[in-house]
Amino acid sequence: MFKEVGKNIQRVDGYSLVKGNPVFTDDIDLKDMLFIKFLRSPHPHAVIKSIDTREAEKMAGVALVLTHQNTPRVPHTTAGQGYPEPSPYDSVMFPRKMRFVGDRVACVAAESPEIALDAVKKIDVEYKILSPVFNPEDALKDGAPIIHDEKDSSGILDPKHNLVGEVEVNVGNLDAGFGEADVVLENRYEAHYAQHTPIEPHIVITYLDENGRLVIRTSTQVPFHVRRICANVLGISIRKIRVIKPRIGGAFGTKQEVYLEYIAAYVTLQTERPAKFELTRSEEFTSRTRHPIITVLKVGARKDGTLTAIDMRILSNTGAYGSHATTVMYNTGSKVLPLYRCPNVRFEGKVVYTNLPVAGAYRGYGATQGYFATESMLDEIAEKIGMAPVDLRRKIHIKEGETSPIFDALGEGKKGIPQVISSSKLPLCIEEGFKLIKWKKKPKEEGKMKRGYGCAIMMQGSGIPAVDMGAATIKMNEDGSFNLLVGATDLGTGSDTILAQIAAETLKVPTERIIVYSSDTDFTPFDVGAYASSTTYISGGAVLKTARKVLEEIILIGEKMLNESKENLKVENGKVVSKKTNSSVTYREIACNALYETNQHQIIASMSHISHKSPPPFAAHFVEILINRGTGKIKVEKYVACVDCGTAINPKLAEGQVEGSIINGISYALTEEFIFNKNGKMRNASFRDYKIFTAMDIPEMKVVLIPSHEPSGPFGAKSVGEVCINGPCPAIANAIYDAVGVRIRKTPFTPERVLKAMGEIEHLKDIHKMENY
Amino acid sequence: MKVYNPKNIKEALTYLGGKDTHILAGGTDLIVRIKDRDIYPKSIVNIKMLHLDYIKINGDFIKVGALTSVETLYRSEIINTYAPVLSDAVGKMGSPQIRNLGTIGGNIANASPAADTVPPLFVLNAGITLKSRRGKRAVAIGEFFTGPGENIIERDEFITEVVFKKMESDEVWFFKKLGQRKALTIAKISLAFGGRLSGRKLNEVSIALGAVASTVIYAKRTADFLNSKRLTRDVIDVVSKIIQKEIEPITDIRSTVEYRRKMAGALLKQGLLDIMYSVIARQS
Ligand SMILES: Cc1cc2nc3c(=O)[nH]c(=O)nc-3n(C[C@H](O)[C@H](O)[C@H](O)COP(=O)(O)OP(=O)(O)OC[C@H]3O[C@@H](n4cnc5c(N)ncnc54)[C@H](O)[C@@H]3O)c2cc1C
Repeated sequence: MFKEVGKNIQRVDGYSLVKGNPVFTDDIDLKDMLFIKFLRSPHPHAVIKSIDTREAEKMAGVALVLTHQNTPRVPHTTAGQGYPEPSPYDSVMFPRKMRFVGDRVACVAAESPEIALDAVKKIDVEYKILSPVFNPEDALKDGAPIIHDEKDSSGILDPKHNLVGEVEVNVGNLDAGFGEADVVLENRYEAHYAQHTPIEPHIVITYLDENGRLVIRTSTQVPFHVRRICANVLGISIRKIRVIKPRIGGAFGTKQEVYLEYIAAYVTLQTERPAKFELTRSEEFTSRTRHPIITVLKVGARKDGTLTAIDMRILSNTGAYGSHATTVMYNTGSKVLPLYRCPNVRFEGKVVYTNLPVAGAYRGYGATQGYFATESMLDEIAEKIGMAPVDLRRKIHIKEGETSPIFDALGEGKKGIPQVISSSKLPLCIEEGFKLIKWKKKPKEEGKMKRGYGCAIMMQGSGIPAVDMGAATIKMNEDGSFNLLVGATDLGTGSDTILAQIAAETLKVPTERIIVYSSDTDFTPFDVGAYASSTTYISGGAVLKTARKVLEEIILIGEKMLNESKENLKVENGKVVSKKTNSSVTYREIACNALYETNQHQIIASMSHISHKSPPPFAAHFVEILINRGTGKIKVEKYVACVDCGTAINPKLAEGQVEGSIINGISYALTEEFIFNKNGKMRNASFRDYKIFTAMDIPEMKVVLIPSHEPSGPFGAKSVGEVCINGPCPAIANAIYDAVGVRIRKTPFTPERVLKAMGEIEHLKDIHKMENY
Repeated sequence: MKVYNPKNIKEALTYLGGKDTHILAGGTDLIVRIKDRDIYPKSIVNIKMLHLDYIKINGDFIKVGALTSVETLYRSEIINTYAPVLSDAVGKMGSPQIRNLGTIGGNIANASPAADTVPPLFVLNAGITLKSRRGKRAVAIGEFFTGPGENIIERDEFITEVVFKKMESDEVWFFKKLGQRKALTIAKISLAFGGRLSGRKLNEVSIALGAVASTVIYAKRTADFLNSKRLTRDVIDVVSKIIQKEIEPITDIRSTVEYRRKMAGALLKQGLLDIMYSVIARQS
């Protein structure tokens, strides 16, 4: 049926990436470039009493030293979100108060990165040390150190108790719900810190163009938010700034954050020289992280598996600044609870500051932490009522045509929007996955190895309803090709390609006729950027509308050229054809006619798109593991993910997102861990000591896309970028229980923790003490 | 920073002796330390051109040049046949890139308590040959290390060769390493075992552990307990407790005291059980 959509079209940027063309931020070298390095706080909580930069400034090759003394103090949020922003304005370019080890004290711009590093060491700072607070539960207590006591911050709910925000929603009657239950269980689950570890760290290059306008070339998910936030912080107008996003080496949420750009820009404005600011890998680890969340979950169920009440209370730790603090907290409820059919639900969330690294957006955006709790708990309930885990899953999830009161009650940082599920193939996903994993009820003993199976179901959203907006422009060239200009941001996900496919399908030409140019604030229309799983659904919707508009225009000209009315025309293979006479005009002829001959004009259209719903993609995950009872090591033998993302515009790319999420998720579940010293300093901020999965660690993966048709999405598409990161933690926790009968409610499942849970080692010292936070 | 590229050992020796002079072999430890600004060398002596890349049989002994890469060791028939415990260990090191660059001399000289070639070399009771302008000396590997990153090499010396006896057919061995993931991982704990077996009786047992102390260490008491014992389930259970008492590991970012202690027992137990079962299988 489709010609371009649903096909594994080669990525439009594939060749240039593979050939190593200069496509990334760092691939350009500008004359007279300055290099910037931070001086970071060695203290988790302190006030700068004095700062002396004279020695550094005197050094040969040092161009500029910036501190709180010589930079504008404009409270803002570094979270690149819609406007007005839902995150508190609690950051300034260089604060006077340090709030975590690694907070920015000063920076040096110099002729080389080495000189900058040496100069940083020459800056003399005197601190007044304050007592820190690391534990989020302690942070809420009366008398706890107050992290944000500055007068000019705004949007913090209760700074005296380090409380950034809170939410409580009630639907139905919770007490009645628990009253009806045959079993009620309550447990506490803890999901830990993690970093996105994109292969390309944060990097920005700034320069003045030939007319003295500021150009910001940056590895970002949110070019338009970069422009807005930089204009605000720098106190210049938006028209003076152009933001360009080149190719990106991965982001996963960490580049939905604007906090290097304005510093580099300030250096360029002050010195009139190009400037480059790139984080080192160790800095990247404490740039932005996943919010660690403690969930206390109480669930009531009848013997037949019907859920009667869910009470979910979360405490989220946003670290030193409140980037994405409330929105992530809301999401833990709003992207998790609607999955479950249950009439009586309470969700309570609190998000607090601590003197630890700053959290932010990370693939899954709170849902990942929430699903660890709910999907672990479902297995605990299943056991209590004597039901197979998969049978309980079959029973309790929301179905096509149904709604959940949570959609209305909870949104992102505010109330939500009611919606009915208009597409779901979750039942099929569960059946197919269950078949593929070949779940053995009582696997045979294999010496010291124990085998176990686990499953989890999950959903996410597709964009933020009534908030996220994307726009597209399409213009036609005289060879019948089209420029597609989109604000949408390809992070390596391949979105440029799928947006081209959507345009090509609509315009009835091969994808190669679409020339994509994206994410340049001077040349492309607005788009909120790549986050909240929105690009295919929202930006894709804009492309579809725009292409339709252009097609109308093409047909209009075709009418005139063929002297035939619309009803008698059809469009195929880049031609407008008369159904009556079969005579036709090609797109080339139409474009040339418009540009050079009759009623001369450019065939061009721009359209914008928002959605009042956020149709969830669904997935069912199944895992088979082997645990070595001697060492506590877990080997993932096989991982099956069945996913309903609506129509997969490009199945290869969609599968890539699923596989990427699974590996990301398994690595988070098993090996990735932030280890802090007693000062709250991350001790393992390097790839040597923070272990992400390597190719050798990747298990057999089976990804099955089970298409549904989402009526509100372009060609039936929903999102696929995030949903599958929600599965591995609970699925593996459930498999551990299946294998060795112990329930681990705290991630990651290191061999140390597995053996401890099995009662093989008494207690764990130091290493696991700190990451309680 | 000055870099010397000597063509022979004699020339190399003339550059050694300075305080901030460092030897460069594969560079997989050294360059990382320089980049981390952990050391600031004034001069570097690159020993790559010294023709110290060889594996030779000399009567009952194997001689390995200090510049032999980890990958060469791994692919060597000689090592595989006569020092399988070392062969096994080098197969678990780093990644292909690291194995191609990293050398045995560098792994030893770097003196990490987690170095993977070292526990097998302890079990093989290897001798380390050092050369200086003053002459040549040999040191048993068990006496080579003095602390993490510390060894007995004098400033004017460097390692030229590693020598050990061929393993014989009545010798049993194993090497176990626990890391945080499958590749590119530093041992949380490693254990090399060697001994002679007649029937089910063990003799000349040697056990070396990595990453449980400031250097690789011998577990002497544990080894002594096993000498002249028949391998039975009971003996294995007991000895896996003894080794836990013998060692004093620490907690660091890779693991904990409790886990390491427990694993010393678990790894020894798994290895010994495997030996016992293969003996039983052979006998029946
Ligand atoms: C990513 C990565 C993974 C790694 N994985 C492992 C692993 O799994 N297991 C493991 O054990 N190690 C591992 N290492 C550490 C390292 O690769 C090994 O220790 C390697 O054998 C070092 O050899 P080299 O030739 O590279 O040493 P170099 O870096 O050249 O030298 C190391 C040190 O020894 C000194 N030195 C070198 N040769 C001599 C000599 N002949 N005489 C005297 N001094 C000398 C140098 O001056 C320096 O101080 C890893 C390293 C990296 C970067």
